[in-house]
Amino acid sequence: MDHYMKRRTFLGGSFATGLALAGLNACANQSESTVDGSQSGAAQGGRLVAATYQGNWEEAHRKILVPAFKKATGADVTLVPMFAVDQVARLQAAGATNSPFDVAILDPGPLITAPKDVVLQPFPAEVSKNFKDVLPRYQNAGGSGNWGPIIGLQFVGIAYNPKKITTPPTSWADLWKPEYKGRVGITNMSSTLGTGWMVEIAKMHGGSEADLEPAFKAVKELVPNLAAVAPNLGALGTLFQQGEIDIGLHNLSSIALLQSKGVDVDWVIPKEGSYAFGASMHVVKNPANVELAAAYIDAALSTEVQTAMAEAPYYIAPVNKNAPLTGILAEKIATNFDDYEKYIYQDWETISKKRNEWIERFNKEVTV
Amino acid sequence: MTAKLFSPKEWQLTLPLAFFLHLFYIAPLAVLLASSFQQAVGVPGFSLAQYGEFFRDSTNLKVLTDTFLLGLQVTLACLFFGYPVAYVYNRVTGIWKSVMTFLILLPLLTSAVVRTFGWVVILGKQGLINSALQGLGIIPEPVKLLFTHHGVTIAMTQIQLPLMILPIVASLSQIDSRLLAASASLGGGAWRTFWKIVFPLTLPGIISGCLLVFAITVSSFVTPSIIGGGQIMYMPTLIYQQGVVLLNGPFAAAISAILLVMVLAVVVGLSILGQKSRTYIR
Repeated sequence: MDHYMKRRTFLGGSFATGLALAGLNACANQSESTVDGSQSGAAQGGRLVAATYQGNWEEAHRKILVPAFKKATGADVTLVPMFAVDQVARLQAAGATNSPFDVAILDPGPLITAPKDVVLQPFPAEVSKNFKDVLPRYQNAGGSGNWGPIIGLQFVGIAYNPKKITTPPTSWADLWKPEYKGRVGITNMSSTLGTGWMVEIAKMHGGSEADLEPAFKAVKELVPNLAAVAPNLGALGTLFQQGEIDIGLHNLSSIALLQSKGVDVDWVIPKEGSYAFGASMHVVKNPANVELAAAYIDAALSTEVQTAMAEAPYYIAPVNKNAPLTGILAEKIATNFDDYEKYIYQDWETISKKRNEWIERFNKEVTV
Repeated sequence: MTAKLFSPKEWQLTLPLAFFLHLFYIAPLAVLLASSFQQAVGVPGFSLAQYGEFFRDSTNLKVLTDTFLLGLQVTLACLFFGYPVAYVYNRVTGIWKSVMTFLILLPLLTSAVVRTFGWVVILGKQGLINSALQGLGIIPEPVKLLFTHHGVTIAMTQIQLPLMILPIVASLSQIDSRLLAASASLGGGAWRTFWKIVFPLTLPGIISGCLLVFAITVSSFVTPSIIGGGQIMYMPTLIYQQGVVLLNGPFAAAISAILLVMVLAVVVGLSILGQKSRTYIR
């Protein structure tokens, strides 16, 4: 009897464990299915594996960039949606000869702190026929080292719900207004958006890219107003959608996309100015096929792709001087490329020196 | 003849799995542990610096205790809500049994991400709970549930519930119904029979359920990071932050090792309790 019972208990337990494992597998598949194909895909000829951001970037790349690349090269593309930090971590973990994808898409924060000579290789600009059309400021995303061009720009301003906030905000300082108690949303410093914002707040209070002390002091005073500190830009957008927050920082293209989906949200440039940062594309270290990787980035720079990416509903600001500025971009950002110069381009080289320390400090000190 | 081939050495049957686990579980774990003893990224050698750094910082210790607390609360909540369900499941028959099986397994049939987003909608400021409570006039202002420890606990409880119910169902189903009849005939009331007979006999199921729920809760990443937002930190989110965002591999490895030790300690503790409960049954 006793022996029998134990065995049954064991069987019951194993059954439950099996189920648990199945459940776990299902969770794991969430992230793994995205990289599926990259293992086998990276090595095959005529197939490229390219990382992209989740959300509107993935959609825009699937609809615009991938067909253009196919037309130009005849090769196929597997898109792998992943945050920039995840891309860097995966490239580093995989080692120099076993990269999980061929093209990375990064933004200044992850790019500047990434061990670039380990995970990336220089962009062969000489084989890219569209590279010369890129505005000079954006040809080298990593500053020095020719690691790859910026392929599109984001402009950060104040996003707010016009239904609930009838007087449009005019300054970053407005977020500190007492009437916005429990209604403000920001992101933490892990995101480029959040780090850039802290730099702007520091500058308002006498700090700089090298000195965020004033920003930390100011953000502590913002805590009563904070409804949420999102881990990334996508999550912050969702908070507007769900009415969790009424005012916060965000970039124009994401807000334009939310507007096109009927979300009550509008976007203004604060009087301190809007800071701009680029998404950049990079050939990873030892990709399966360098030519295809370079051709993919070249396609992303082409007038045709840049024009389509700048249109509704994506509004990714172009860096190709032949692409027209129209729609909401012309209305809110720039009517010609000289206007790009009035935006703030932060010194990420300086920011990177202390960024990791700041990320940890922010997570410890800014608690809602 | 063929039967004899295996019978003396049944343990050989476990060889394929053992090989698989050594290659894909033990070996990576060894690499992980080894890297947690590095002085800094890429510096080989043996040092306890990473562990020292973890325990010196009160924020990290809070993350550790919060994670333990989350595991404990979710486990207790699952037990509290799960046991009655398992008990009822064991009593019903026919079509209702199939219906209940389906309902119990339902949380496992949808992906963790979808379930979690469902909870985001329910827990939000304008979500189901807040609008219902406000509509009934119970609360004047929305209660903050999203991005709080309580929110994570509520969502995790729902997600982990099947893992508690199933082992308890398994041990309930083995109880000899004659024991209950005997108890009744000797004058035991329903509650006394339950506490003296049924509950002790299901202890092995409860313990394996607790083990599963605790271990999976403290190591889960998706739900705590979505419901908790960018603010509520648990060990897995801390590992992600250190390993992926800050590229500080050795420190992330040390946190993983500490989490592993915590889970193992609970597993060992509950196993001892399991042994004790078995002697109690006899």
